[in-house]
Amino acid sequence: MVFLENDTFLLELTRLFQKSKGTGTGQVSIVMKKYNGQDRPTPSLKPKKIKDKKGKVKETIVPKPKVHPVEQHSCLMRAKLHNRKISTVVNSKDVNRFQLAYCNLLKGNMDNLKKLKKTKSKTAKATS
Amino acid sequence: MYVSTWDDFEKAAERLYLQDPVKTRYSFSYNHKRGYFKVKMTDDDTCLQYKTEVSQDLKKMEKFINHLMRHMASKEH
Repeated sequence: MVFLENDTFLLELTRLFQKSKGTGTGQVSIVMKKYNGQDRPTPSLKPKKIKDKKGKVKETIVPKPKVHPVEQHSCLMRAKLHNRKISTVVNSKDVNRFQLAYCNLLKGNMDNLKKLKKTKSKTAKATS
Repeated sequence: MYVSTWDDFEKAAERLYLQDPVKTRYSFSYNHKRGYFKVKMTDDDTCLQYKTEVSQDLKKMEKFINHLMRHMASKEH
């Protein structure tokens, strides 16, 4: 996973889209989630089997190492194509700018979707 | 679980996100060759999915992620 700045992330993402278009294989996937500064999973509360000095196996609950999330509110984005993975964090003050660029990127690159044809009301003309 | 219409997906996804904003993630994948995209919203418990081939849905999706991203980067949720 390569961590990138917002602008470089968008640039790389465009490259991913173009690559998938050029080779005609694979799909680009993007994950978006809330990010509060916690960069590792919360440890589980499962009892661990630990051997004591006599060789007996004891089940003990290992106390959780406390995770201190930094008071930070931002949005974590990850993107993937084949084995190329990139990620970025969007801070709240950059959201507007990033959104605009991101939406343009999607619009520009997702161009193989069907257009829904509007069903024209021919019956109205026929009756008049 | 696949949802049949976008509106249903949007409503259910919003509800799911508000239940546990920290745990919930949104993912999206686009397949250029086959010409479809899928969206997914999950909190590792419930999973909502929607698949479409129509480009009009892209616009709706953009609106939704704009909204979602603003929520994620704000203090309240």
